[in-house]
Amino acid sequence: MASRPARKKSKKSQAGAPYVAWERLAPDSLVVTNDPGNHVFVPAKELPALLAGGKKTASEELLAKGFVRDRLDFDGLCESWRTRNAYLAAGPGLHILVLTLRCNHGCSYCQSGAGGADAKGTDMPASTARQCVDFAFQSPNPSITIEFQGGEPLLNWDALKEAVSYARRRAAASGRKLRLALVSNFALMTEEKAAFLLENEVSICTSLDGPAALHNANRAYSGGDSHGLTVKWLRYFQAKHDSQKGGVPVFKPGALLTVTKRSLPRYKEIIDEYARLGLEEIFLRPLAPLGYARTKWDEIGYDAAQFTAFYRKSLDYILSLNRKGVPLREKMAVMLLEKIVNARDPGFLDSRCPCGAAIGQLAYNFDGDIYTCDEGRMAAWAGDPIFRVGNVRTSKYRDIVTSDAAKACAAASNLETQPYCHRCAYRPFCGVCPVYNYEVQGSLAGNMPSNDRCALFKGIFGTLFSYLKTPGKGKELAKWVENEKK
Amino acid sequence: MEKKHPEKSVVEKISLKKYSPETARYAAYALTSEAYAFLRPAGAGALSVELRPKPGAAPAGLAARFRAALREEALREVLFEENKGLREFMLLKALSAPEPAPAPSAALTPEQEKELDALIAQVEREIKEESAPGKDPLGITRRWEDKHGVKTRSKKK
Repeated sequence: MASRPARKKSKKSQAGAPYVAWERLAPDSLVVTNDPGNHVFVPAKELPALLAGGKKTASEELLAKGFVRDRLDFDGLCESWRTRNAYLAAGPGLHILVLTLRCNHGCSYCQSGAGGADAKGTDMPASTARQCVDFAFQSPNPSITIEFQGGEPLLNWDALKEAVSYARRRAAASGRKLRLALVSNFALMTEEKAAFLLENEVSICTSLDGPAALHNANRAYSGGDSHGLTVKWLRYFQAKHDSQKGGVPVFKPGALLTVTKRSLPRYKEIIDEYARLGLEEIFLRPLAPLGYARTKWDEIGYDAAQFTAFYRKSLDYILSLNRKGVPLREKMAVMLLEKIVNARDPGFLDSRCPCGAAIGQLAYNFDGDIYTCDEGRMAAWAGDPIFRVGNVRTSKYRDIVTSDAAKACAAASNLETQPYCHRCAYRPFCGVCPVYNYEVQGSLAGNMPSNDRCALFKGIFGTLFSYLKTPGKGKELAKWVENEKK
Repeated sequence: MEKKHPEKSVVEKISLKKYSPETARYAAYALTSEAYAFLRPAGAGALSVELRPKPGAAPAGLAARFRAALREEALREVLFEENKGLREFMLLKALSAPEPAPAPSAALTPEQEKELDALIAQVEREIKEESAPGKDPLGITRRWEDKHGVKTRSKKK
């Protein structure tokens, strides 16, 4: 590729390609993307011809996807961009209520800043929970999701019950769409609590790290067999889902996997466990060196290359199970494919530009303090309240979303201003995390070439695009988001 | 021209007639996972880029990787400059459109092609005339009631 004098305007200013970016999938193979988020696969030697553009040499695919500068469908491409970035005009939709810092588990990777089950002064009072709900409903987002977390939220059942009832009344009074979600380890679940949650249409999610030995090694529970309890209640909620007959909808329960170093060689056992339990999604969530996990990183952590290898082998294995009729999808892939294949925003706050901090989500600590996000709350737990944006008792909504921390996070996570990201082919589908950058690299913007989270996402995107380029695997992966497309 | 420092640094002298300082900076930045980058003036019309390998990083091939990054960055800079006005126009259009636009269409009629040609010719002129958007064009800092005019009910406590 011949270089040209910089900053010299082309005489043929309307010829050539619009702004595009490319990444190598293999030495001789590129994926090329444009601003609206379309992609094409191009042999490396054909890149100069693509950049030269012109309708005479352009294929139908290049024309249709907006890769020819003098034949752009402005309205269509702008609409595609708007659909993909619809969250920009919505305001915070996810509101995380940390009902208590107490927890009855001692997980090896805990990132939530949880304390012991007997800790004092770390429960959210019911009155504060109501104020959090009131605050959430000030968001202009027409669809509000309130997620109850901890610690273990069932340790503060009274506040959970009050917040659920109050939020349902607020939603009914205002006509707003409300989704309630509980993340629990199930150790304190009872039929009475389950009945209340189901009556109030609360979706249920738990942690499942694989087969019993691995799960219990990661998630120590002094009260007994954590894995056994998890499986028992997963089956209970699955049965409720499968037997529902009208009335209040019962969601299929979900499970979250946290990948530790122990998980890496055991991907088949983990996936088999999910399949055995009839779960149709597995979320291969990488561990981040935040909170307690940071102090034990040498023991439980790994680098991006190790995770990418694990991710690729896991996808291959899931696809092989799909071929045998097992309906299982990988959640990270589903959310990213929703962007890549369907050109829609799946609501994945970790992968947005700007990131979801304050403008897409808010986290409410047990004491009513509000943070840009749950990761920001964890930074405060570790001693640095830089991501605290206010308190439900004293702050106004506008002050929160225009706070210095909110603006700094939005600016730092704008990929157009990230010197490594603005030229990356995965930019239309990706996002950076200012909290991760701050905690790991010492600045909100971070340094992407040496950022392991960036390398990890590049590994995932590289895997997905390589598979999409392969005829058989490409079709199989695209099937995962066929229903979403409809 | 390349010379190696005792600390195994790689030093490249860049002609500013061929590459802009920004191109050299971005190319060097892309390698900061493996090396510290230092950019300094190197006489009239030239820039010196020193890449000092980080601990544990192998310096072999560093100069070649920098030169490859430099060539790609030069290409990217030309693309960026040529499309700056167009990108700003499309972004502004996407953010400010009040109603959904029609679905993307690949096939254009001759009349549409003429219209597009005329539109493209006007893009840079139009973008200069566009004023910057307001402080909150999307209204995300406004409360639900303020944005949608819904009356607030008294709270039940």
